[in-house]
Amino acid sequence: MKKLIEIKNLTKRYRIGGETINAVDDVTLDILEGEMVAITGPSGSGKSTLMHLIGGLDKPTKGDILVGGINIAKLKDRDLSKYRNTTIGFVFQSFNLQPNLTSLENVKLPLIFSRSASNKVDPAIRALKMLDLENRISHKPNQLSGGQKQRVGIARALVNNPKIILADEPTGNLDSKNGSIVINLLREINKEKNVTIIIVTHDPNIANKCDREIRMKDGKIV
Amino acid sequence: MKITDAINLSLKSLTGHKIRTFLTSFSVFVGVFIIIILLSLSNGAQQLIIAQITNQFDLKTIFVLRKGSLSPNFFGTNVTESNNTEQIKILDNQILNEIRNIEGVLFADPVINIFSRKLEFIDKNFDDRVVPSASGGGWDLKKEDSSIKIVTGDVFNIKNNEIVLTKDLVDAYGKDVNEVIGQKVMLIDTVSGFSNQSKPIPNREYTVVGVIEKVRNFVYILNLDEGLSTITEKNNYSSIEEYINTVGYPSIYVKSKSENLVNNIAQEIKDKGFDASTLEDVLKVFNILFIVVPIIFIFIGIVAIFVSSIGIINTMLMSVFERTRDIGVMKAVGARSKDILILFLSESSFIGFLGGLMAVISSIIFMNIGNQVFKDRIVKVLDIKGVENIFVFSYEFILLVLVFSILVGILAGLYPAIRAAKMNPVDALRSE
Repeated sequence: MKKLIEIKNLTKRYRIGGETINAVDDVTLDILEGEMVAITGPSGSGKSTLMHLIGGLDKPTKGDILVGGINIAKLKDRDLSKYRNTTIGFVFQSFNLQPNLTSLENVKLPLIFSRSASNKVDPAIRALKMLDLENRISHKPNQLSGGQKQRVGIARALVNNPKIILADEPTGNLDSKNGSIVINLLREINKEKNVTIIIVTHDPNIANKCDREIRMKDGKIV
Repeated sequence: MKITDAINLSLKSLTGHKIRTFLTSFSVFVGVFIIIILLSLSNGAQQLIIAQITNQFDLKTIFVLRKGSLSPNFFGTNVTESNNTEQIKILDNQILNEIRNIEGVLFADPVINIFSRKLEFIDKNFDDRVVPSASGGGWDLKKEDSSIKIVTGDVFNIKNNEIVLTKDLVDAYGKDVNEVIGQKVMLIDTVSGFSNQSKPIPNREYTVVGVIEKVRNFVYILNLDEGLSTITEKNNYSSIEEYINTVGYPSIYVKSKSENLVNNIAQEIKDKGFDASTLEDVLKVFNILFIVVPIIFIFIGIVAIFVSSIGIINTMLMSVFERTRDIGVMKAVGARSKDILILFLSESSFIGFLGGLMAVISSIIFMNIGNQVFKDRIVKVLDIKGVENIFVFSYEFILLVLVFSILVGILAGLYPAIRAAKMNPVDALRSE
């Protein structure tokens, strides 16, 4: 399998009240295409920061992140948002659905912001059907259960056919039953669509279901 | 992002806060409503004033007065008696002839303003009501004077014991214009006079020979000779000649053959040492008013709009603050900073649009009702032809105001929208 993500000497430094914190400290890491990876570690170990850097939400202080050969550390806002829109799909712990929009509208959101793609309804409905949500299409988030909300969140992450899904504690707000449904879904998507998945988690059970576990401590891989 | 999607998304956000959206729009509504009403009112007032002036004063007319006469008599006020008549050149027959000989003068006639007198019909069976205070003119009406509009009878060769009434007066009595022809009226001197020298003069009877449309603010017209003898007696002079040679005619009414010559004629009269006012002069005075008043009104409107802009800024900042996480999510799924900017600007411009729309609809209703209410008063009381609206507005103006309210929304939304657009996605996603 070929490398999809190549991280070289990546450092992210924060300055909090005069004190400098190396959230990510000289990390070098490769992730293969089609891999499902868990990043684990205690709170403050820098796993979320690493994920944000891979997702192009944050700029590194030093180092390079090559995704499909393109160094996203050097992209401008315009190209970076295109990267987030087409290459990455985010799944959040607290779902982050827009409360005033229906499931369909939430799933359509990435299509709306995509420059090339027309905002057709079809991909959004297809994504919702794939996650067994066809009878929840016009429901608002407050009419959905936690598990359903996270499935809408996954449908939103999938709608633009991304190469990579980044999931930050995707089961953190779910009970164990719904949690395992979500993880199984992600595994399924990973297998069927060959989507590379990176999950940030505390849960060893989830890490066990992944191809590889990357442990972090104090900004470094251990 | 397509603009339709931006509008759609911002509408969803606004409808999620119906009361807040409405209240903020309402503050825009108040400001825009005030602007529309005030500017339309000043337009209407301007038209009324111009119409009032042009009704009695066309572009070929020049009013000549003694220099220093305090009150110009466009509105028919009595010319104030000046104490130092010796120093000031008076309008005597020599001047009258000089004016008549100026090139381009069609005619030049003295007009006497006769102080208010009681007016009543002799035949009490015809009507026994009394007009307590009627001002009239002593004036030989001319056929070639386009300002004179005959309703009935012969008004151009009035004898000393004849009188022409205005249609207003006949209407006030509720009579048909033809009924009053041949009736006798009496003018009764009221005791008060304007100067110490004045004395009561005997009552006089006149036969009604004609009716004309209102001219200046005269209620009746006597001939010049009768007008002169009235003020001569009133002011205690022994003869009309003595009065003219001492006090002079109160005013001379000059008509030019063409509008182009008016300024030359007026200048020539001024050079002789008299006040000569033309419509242009009068309008010049009002033009300043027509500039100043709208500026004051616009200033009031701007203050109101400023206040509503603060309301929009406040609401939009609140919206940005509340939706920090949404902004983070939108950025995470591929929204550019520009998209976020457009999203919030379309929200604030919609607030402006909504306020503007409410203002436009309610002000059109308000002004139409206002115009209906005031129509009768304007037509009857002011008697201005061709003008009947107190609020005058064009639909282009309304459209402009609507665009303006959208612009206010955009401008007020700019700062909150920029804040939203500049937000760091990681910080935005972390916010609670």
